[in-house]
Amino acid sequence: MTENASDAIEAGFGRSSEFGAGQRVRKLWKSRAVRGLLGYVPSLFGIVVLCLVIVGALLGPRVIHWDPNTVNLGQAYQSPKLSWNPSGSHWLGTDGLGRDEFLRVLLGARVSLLVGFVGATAAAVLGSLIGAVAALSGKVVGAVLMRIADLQLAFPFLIFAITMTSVLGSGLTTLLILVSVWSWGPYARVAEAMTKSTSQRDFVLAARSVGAGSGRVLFRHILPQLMSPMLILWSFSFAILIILEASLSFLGMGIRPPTASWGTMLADGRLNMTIAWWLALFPGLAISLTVWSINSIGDRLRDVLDPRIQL
Amino acid sequence: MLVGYLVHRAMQAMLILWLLLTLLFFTARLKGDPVAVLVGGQVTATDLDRLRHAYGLDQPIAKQYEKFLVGVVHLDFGESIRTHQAALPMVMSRLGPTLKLVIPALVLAVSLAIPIGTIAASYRGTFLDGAAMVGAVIGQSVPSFFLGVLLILVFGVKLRWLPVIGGTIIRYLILPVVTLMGYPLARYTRVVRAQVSETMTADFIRTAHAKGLPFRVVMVRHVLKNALLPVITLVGTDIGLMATAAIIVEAIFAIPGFGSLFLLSATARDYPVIEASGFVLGVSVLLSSMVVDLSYGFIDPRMRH
Repeated sequence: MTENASDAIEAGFGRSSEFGAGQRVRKLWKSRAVRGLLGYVPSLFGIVVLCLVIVGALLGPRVIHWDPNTVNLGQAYQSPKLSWNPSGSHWLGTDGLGRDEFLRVLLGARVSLLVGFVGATAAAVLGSLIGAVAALSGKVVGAVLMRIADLQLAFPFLIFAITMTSVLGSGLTTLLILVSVWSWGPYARVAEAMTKSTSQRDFVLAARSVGAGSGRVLFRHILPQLMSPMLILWSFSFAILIILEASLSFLGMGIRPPTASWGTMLADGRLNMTIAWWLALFPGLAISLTVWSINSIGDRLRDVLDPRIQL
Repeated sequence: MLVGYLVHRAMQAMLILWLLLTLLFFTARLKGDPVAVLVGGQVTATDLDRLRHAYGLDQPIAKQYEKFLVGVVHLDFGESIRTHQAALPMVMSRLGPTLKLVIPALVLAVSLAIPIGTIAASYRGTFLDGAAMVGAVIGQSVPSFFLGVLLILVFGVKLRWLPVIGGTIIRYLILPVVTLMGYPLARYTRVVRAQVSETMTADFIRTAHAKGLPFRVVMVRHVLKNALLPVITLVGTDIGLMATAAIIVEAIFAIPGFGSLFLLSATARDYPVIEASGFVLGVSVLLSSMVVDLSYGFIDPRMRH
């Protein structure tokens, strides 16, 4: 804390001294998080699994030469068969239209990771800004902003998304927009509480007293303090958004076929459960494994960076 | 003091409800024509006009909004476009099947999470603790729709122990309730464990042990009493989460509850029912969070301010 405070006070006076101290703090923070993540078995496993999912999503469809969307009824409902040549047999079987399930699971990962990443990032940026502004601005503006954050709790994302897609239509772009506008509530709540306490701390008062404007105080002194709680929240909402996208697609209101999404694939598998168990099992396993890996990273990040945060 | 606090909270809740209803009102009228969606193109333009007039959709938007808000104050959300029943009673009548799922799921989740979490915390670092935590982490990662489909696949299709649809009420409810319970059980178990192990290191617990109280008495009267407050908060704030899960579970198990009505109304753009559902959900979430905040004062005298 003392390091942080002196860093910030110096920051108010001159750039050169700020640089050295700031770098030191950042380095410390970085190494603590990284060491904490890699030196603990569950989070290390999580990182390995998540990396495999990302690599599989990016490279898999280039390596396997099945066409993900071509209908081939002669190949329909083939059960899973392992062989060393990925294009020689269908590792996870085929669906009712003869499409390779493994390839579609990998393609589904692209959608899930994209929605999770974009949604969580947009929510983190929006939420920390809105929360900080709500804490620093007047009573009325602050109250209204925080009530909009509460509204997201009273009208949860899935229900909001079902309402909106019934009017706007479904699809990836709509989904990305909806995710960004309706998941910043938790971030704003944490950011507001932390900004309120931070803005009374000595280093912020010092920066103010040497004439720093409200924009400078916000961006240079308050928002950097929010980094670790926002990072922890980010990792958890990444996982939650993957589940929500899959739920929405499962209900037929998210990603539209023929684009592969774990939710739509699972919905399809559910209908054909009696003849092809693998169609329900593998997309579900893919979601669970990905969500587990992100959660285990998030848990560890919280333990290492800020155990006080309650979610 | 308490009255002032209550008034403040109630005003906040009103503001949130107003924001929610305004959002729903304008969303429903954002794009397209619900009447055209309803009748599906087999009618003439004059018929459409007549229908629009009947639902008041030909009036200026400000007038419609005013009428809508006056209706809300009288708890009147108009008629369902799909079935011509009054929207709010229609939503309320569907709450029964949903509550039959949500209440057992929450009660079971809490009553299982407290012993499991406490045992895990008292045997911290042992195999028991490890197993409980692995289970909790898995429970938090498996989405409800996958859990539901998996349960049907194993117990309904392969083993044929439980009916997938139909059967006596208890047997019929087992799979949906277990599906709904998975996530909260995992979440509460972890919170109970974290709280109990934190409380166990407190000074007053050491004192209790030192004055010779039996382990069981210390655990129940001193540790658990202090550790359970955050669990109550969670249950109170999870009402919205349970509504989300209920939509999915009702879709999987074909249960005619609040969630399936909402899903059906959304696809049919039956906006009076969507608005009434949003209202019911909003009121339940806001009320439960107020009840939780008030119950703090009764449970923990330190919070009475």
